[in-house]
Amino acid sequence: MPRVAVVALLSVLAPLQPATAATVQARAEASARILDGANVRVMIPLAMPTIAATGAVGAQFASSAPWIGLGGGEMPGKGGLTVRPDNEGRGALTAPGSFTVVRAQGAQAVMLKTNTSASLGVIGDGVLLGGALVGGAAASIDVGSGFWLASADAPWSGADAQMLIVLVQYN
Amino acid sequence: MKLRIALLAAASLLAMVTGASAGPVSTSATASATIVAPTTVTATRNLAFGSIAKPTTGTSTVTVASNASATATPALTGGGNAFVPVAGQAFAATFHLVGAAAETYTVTSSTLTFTGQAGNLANVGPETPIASIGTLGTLPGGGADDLYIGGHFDITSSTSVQAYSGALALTITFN
Repeated sequence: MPRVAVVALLSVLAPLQPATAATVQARAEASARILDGANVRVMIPLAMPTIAATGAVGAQFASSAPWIGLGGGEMPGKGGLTVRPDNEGRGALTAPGSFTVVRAQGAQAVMLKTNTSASLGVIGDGVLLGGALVGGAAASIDVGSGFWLASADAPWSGADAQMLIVLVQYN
Repeated sequence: MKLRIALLAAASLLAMVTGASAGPVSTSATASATIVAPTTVTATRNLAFGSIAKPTTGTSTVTVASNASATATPALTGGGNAFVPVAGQAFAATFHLVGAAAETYTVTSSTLTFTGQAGNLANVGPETPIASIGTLGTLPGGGADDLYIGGHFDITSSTSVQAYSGALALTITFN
């Protein structure tokens, strides 16, 4: 009978013992996709045509290689491309005739803009081309420019220098 | 309180077995028990960094913060020129903890690893967990909480262009 008493006492006290620490584990999946950055590559520099002045007014443009950001190679980043003349003064202007926009992944659209400053004299300021890259991961876009010639009431002669800024923007 | 009840119960039992000399006697004691859910931790959302364009120069650290956002954008730090092509593709992992109200716990360990990370992803690791409700380390009154855990790694121009998959392992010790 005393044995029964001891067993009963232990049974009552058992729930009062502190619980041991419980260690639990779980795992979540992790993912990351590493891409090459979008690049803009200048393919063929465009030489602007020479325009011969007539009479006492007019302007003349000559061809020369453009100065292109980052030495004309691939430009990492969000597809930005800036083309500037090769000197700060008056002189010849050339611009790239085309470049290739490389898409980094699907569902990217491309927008081609020129500088919005009318003083730069680029015909069609603003968005010239927009939309998805059709038919693959790369598309070539031809770029041109326009210039104002001197007029009779504002005569000017000599070489002209202007700036053409081309911005390719991924949306 | 429980101790007092237990002692009373024990005393009652002892009284029963040591026995009175006369006829049978009986008594009763109040018993109580609290049933709690087993302590568990379950991953309810994975960790995603989204797409990152690797740098052409320097080293970039990619970090997904520990928070609830399902449309986060990794933070890029360091001297590299990496960039995130499309924002809002990242989110931290979520772990659901279940225990008792006000139960304390310790994040014993958390590790983040990617398959093929050697030579491509450096300094891979998890961010410090953030509790959805209340304070990290103590379950709220409801006895359940969510832990958000982000991660980070370094990439360079030599990082292989590919999709990386891995695991974020979490160990919780309930006290």
